[in-house]
Amino acid sequence: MPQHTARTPPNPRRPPRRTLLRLAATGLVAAGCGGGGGSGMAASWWGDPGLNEALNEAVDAFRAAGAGRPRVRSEFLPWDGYWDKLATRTAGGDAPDLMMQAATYLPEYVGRGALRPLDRYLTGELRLDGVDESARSTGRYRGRTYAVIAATNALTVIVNRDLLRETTGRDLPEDRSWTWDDLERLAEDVHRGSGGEVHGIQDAGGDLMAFQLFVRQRGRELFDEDDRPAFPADWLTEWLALWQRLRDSGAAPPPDMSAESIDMAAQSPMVRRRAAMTFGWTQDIASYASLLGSEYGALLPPGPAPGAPGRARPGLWVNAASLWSVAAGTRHPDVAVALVDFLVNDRRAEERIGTLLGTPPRAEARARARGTADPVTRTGLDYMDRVARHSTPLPRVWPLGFTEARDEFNRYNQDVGFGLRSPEAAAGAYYDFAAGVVAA
Amino acid sequence: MNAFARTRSATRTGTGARTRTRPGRRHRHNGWGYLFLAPWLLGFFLLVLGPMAASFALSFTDFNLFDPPHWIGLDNYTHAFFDDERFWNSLSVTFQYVFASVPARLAFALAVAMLLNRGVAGLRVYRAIYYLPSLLGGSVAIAVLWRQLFGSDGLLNHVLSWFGADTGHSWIADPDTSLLTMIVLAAWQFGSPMIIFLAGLRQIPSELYEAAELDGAGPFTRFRSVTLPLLSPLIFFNLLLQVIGAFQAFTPAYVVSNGTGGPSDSTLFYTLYLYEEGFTQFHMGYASALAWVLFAVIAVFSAIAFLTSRYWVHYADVRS
Repeated sequence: MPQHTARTPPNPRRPPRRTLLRLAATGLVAAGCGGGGGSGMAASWWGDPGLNEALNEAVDAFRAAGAGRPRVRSEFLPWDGYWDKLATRTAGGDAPDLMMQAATYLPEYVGRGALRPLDRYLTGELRLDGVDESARSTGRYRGRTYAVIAATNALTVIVNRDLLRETTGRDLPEDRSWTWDDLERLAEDVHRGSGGEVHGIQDAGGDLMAFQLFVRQRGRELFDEDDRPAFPADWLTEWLALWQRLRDSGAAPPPDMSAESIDMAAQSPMVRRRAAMTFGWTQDIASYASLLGSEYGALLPPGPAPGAPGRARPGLWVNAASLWSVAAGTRHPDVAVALVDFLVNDRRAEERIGTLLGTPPRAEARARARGTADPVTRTGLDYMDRVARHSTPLPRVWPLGFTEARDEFNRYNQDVGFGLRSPEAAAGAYYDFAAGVVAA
Repeated sequence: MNAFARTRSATRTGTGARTRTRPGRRHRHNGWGYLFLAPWLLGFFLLVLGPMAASFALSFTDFNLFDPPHWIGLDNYTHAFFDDERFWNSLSVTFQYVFASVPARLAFALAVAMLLNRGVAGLRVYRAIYYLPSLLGGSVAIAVLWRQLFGSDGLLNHVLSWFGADTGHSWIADPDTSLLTMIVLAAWQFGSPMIIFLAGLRQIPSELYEAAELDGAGPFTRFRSVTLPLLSPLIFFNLLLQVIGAFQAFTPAYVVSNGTGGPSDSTLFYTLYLYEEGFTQFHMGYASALAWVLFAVIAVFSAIAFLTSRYWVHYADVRS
């Protein structure tokens, strides 16, 4: 019986073999438990491969500029995956030394004790003298600076000019005093002019940033200083009903077309030439241009119609597109801060990054970028100049829990779109949800 | 199971005599056994049992991954059952999925197995081809493919357009049809139950069919009175595995809906909701509670399957 021979006890005069086996077994177990690790620094950011390449080149330039600087392991992910992974890494005590941050996430990360205060470097290693004054404080939270701005952006209505001309025979509308009603009519004209093939504007009913714009135009904010919703609930009803009207008339795409491309810009109605306009951020102009190659315009968002409630003012704000932060637990605080300084202030980094992150926050860098800019880049830069004149600064940082409130907003717009809830019911439900999730 | 028990008792009696004469040896044998089991044991205790115990404890806390957890008693459970609309919605979506996809997959698997059992030439090739979707099934690639097939510019709409049907409709992005596409995806992955059914069908002695035929039984009666009863242990086995698997379905919904469970939560599978709560919103305590509710649900369904099995599963051994 083969089992028997296998069970024959090992010869007691040959202990080395047994010891070796045991050692081998233990070694296997140990090898299974051991991890990678190593010296050097970790950096992570979100973005597309083009931006990743530019940032890696900038980091290489940083290492070449100083002797003995540690190796930097970089990692890039798309926006959604970035936050899932960063949170997990942070919780596991393995936060990257240098990380890209977003203003909306800053309260959460500061609250988790994950970020290193940078105030004491601001007078020395990390001067922000060249940075626009309005952008210097974007990384401040509860009296301390936890992040330094990397680039600015703003909301805009991106227009595919070629498609607009084809469908309506018109060029960009006047955008200094246009209203939501004008936008609605223009979007309907696109739909009609294309024989129903092209929709006017992508559905932004589920975009909390666009709704924030709508609320700010009427003189209110989404959340007050005490983190309570600061807008009347019926404004939200009005907003959701507006987008339902746009969908019903074909001015905006049907809900299934929008749902299909959520978080997938490459499959969006804009890219498929099924929509001529969209709400977006300034850096999205370049993404659309690279995917489609049409001619684009960036319009100031429409304003409230005369007679709308509230006190009219520009709803736009200069937004922090991204910021740089240093992990609280970094083993290389000085190098990490030097790297942040290099990325924000150094000409060599500027040459590589250009406007890939968004609009440079330094006037000097903007001027240089404009000198070499292609038409698409210039569209974005010109637009940001106009935003500087037609905007109202945000009075406060984003509340804790804002990111969850933003993630969930789209679902309520979808429910309206698919006829599962009325605009009133969805607005009421979302109002309660937001009040609960954003808590002091 | 039986075969395993038999060999075990055989080896025990085989070594029994010596064990009695030299008691120390047995322990040493065990020591070696445990040593070689060590990788698995370590994995089991550290990666399975430990985390399970931890998640059970955490389900009574407000753990958020960053701050130390606080004991909040049954709050997570009462919140789920009494205040959380999405919890009930995700349960409903999951039940619909389980009750539709498991019978569909098993019926499909049995039908294909019966076709293949009719002495087709090149059986091995067909078997492999039909098994293939199951190998690929859980993968991201297939779920991506599903988006392409059932999207608004997808293959299905192209085919429909040949017949003059309206095309713009996106099957995966409409709450009325999105779950249906997932069920079709599940049914399409019928390979592993099919292989098992096929093996079972080949065990049924052909004399039984011949006898039934002589008694005047038509194909339907033969299927109902011979095939089904003799196959019932395998049907039971497949049913149990598939139900457990379907309750835990995650990947297709995650990929097809881009992690949202959308549109409008129509594909918010229970595990997807659990994942979202745990790993997107970091309500880890709540996610742990959700996991234990799922555990209880699966346990109940498994118990029901076992308890009812004696009324419909025939273990009549052909050899006896």
